[in-house]
Amino acid sequence: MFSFFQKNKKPHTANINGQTIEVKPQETLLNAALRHDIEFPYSCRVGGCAACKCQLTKGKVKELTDAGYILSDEDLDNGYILACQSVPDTDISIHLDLPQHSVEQTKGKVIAQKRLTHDITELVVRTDTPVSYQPGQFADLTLASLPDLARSYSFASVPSPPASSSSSHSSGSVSNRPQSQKSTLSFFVREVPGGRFSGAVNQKDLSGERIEIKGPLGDFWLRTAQNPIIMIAGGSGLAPVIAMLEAEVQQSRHRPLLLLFGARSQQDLYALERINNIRRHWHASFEFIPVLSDEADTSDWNGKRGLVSDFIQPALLPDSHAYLCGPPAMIDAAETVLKNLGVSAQHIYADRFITVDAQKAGDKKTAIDVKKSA
Amino acid sequence: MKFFHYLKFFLFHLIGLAALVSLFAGGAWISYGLITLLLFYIVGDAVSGDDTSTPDFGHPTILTIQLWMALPLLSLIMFASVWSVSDVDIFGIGAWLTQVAGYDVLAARENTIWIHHLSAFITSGLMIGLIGTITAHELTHRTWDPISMLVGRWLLAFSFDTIFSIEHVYGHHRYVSTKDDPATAPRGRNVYFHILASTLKGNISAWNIEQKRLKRKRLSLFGWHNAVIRGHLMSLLLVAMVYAMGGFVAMIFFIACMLWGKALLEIVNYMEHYGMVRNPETPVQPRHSWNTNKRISSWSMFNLTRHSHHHAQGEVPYQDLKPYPDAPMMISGYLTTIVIALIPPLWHKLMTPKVLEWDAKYATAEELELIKEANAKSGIKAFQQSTSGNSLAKTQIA
Repeated sequence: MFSFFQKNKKPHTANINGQTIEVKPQETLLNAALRHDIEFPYSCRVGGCAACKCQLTKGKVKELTDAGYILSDEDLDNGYILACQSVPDTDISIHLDLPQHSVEQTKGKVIAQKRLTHDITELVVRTDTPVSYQPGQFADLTLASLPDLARSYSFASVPSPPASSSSSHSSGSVSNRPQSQKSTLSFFVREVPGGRFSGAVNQKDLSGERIEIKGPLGDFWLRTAQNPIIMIAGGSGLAPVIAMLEAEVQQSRHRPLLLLFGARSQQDLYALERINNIRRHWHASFEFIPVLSDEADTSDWNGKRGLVSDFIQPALLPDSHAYLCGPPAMIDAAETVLKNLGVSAQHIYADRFITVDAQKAGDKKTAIDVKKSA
Repeated sequence: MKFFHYLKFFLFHLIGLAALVSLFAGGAWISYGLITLLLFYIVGDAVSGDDTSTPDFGHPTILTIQLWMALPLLSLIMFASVWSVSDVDIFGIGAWLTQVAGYDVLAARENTIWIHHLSAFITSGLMIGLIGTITAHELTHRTWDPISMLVGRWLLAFSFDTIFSIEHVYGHHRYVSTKDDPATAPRGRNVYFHILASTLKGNISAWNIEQKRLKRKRLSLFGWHNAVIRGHLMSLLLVAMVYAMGGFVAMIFFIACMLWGKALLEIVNYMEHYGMVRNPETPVQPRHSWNTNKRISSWSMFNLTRHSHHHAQGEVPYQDLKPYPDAPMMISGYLTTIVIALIPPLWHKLMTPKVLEWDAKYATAEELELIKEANAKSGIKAFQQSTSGNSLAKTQIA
């Protein structure tokens, strides 16, 4: 059937924004990019939507469909192609305008503080202009009342959908998806003894207070792949994990998941309903194990006790991708276990929460991404 | 066993040949043929379970040529159909068959009463759908292969539906399960309304898509390059040929079969995405189609039934589609579901719970917002109640 492909049995290479990948004979550029876990934008995959439009800067492709159905004159003149409909005839180079979430300074105000545990509060912020980020990334926050203090917190929810409000309060009335130029952001703030920022969030009523958000920062986010996922979160390190999982649910990619959540005692567990909701929508096996390190032996807790790293199960390994977020000691221990079980270092992504020195009146975290730490 | 997997996709040829024989045999044989066909699908799908196998096909060329054979097969069936109501013996075929088979097909045709002609009409429309549209659907997705496109568009010409080769790929696959897709039925819609609405809107959509393409290529709108005009002329040419061969009554009968074939396609569209929602900005996922793996439907419709994978990855040829057993599931196989769709009260009784289950099991937070709107407009109490008040309080950040 693909008679004209059969002349073309040699694989070619495609250079996408500087990264070189191999494209198998007969394979489309989009499929090759996705196979290499490149975050290539796409939607319909049959040449009807132009989500995968990109610029061919070198080489030649065979186009499987008439790109004139969707690309404009200007696009065609500038060498734009549809990645889902292009099979390389030669080695090619591609320029792709990836959704660059450039770091921006955005202003907003605090609209809610929700107590999650005795020392963690969810800070909900409404920004004046939209903020784009990848779930898993973080931002530096500065409260108007503490202008010299910037603290890093991970986004704890998926970015609001464009032009729609994610409020679930509206009743049965017809929702006409009001145009919204704002974003609702959420962060989990754990109170640190002596911490000025975290103390304010946990102790004071900040409703209406102006806040500055600088972000997105960091490259901790879920890489596109089909491999099973191990996620390990400690304490407020659950924030980026929840954001990533809530976003992944919308992708229905059928990736088995093991989620380990480390906390000190039962009173430190939170967001269980959100995790349960993710589990109900997950498209593959979903195992959630909360692990308590300081729970009294006499309590009614029937779950696991000890360190999260003790409960990493070999069953999913070693082709799993691991995402770790929490205090450095927990991450180090987990990394050692994962590597011993054969998980490749390049598939261990971590976001270490470092509490800024308490004497410097610090708060919780400065995230250092160490995705390829050895 | 590999051999069998190739063989199973020849089921529709077998069904087509049976229909061909029954049409020539005339009289009650036509109705027996139709009843057998219906029972074969409805009972077959009910008792034979699912086919979720995913064999590796080393010789896809066989499976492509097998699809191309649909065109001569459908042409023969429609010829027999037209012949069966004509008052002339077109090309002396009746006399020749009588001589060869030793069975007087001309006398049988003479003695065919109206009810059996009705059966011939239903059978012919089903054949246009089964052998024409479904095969054409697979072929016109292969936009890179001119032979498949040509064969596919001629198959579609049998149901005035050559626009499908444009609208389906560049419209439906882009907008599936959104309000912008003519072929996606919003919850609460009646199938008979959908047949009309989707036909009209689909034609308008194809015209707009083609108009844009021609403008970009600086080609004239009313010229030979316009695939919408060319396509409808192909259908008219078929009608003219039938008139020339079989006369006026045969032509009217043929047009009725064509329209019934087109209606079947719209009923299938109705079933495949009924009540689902999606934000057009997000990629199409397996959850945005109703899937089924019923054996007889899957074999004879060569995996059109594996619709969830088809929409999530429209470029995959049918033999490589995956069954996705955890995707949202249609009521039953295709023909059974068609019959149910044609009885709206039964359809809503069976589908409303399924759609509500879809909301609970598959919809994302964003889709739940779209669902509220869809429910309010559905005119069906169960839908409206499900999102009135705050019962949809999913875990979300306010």
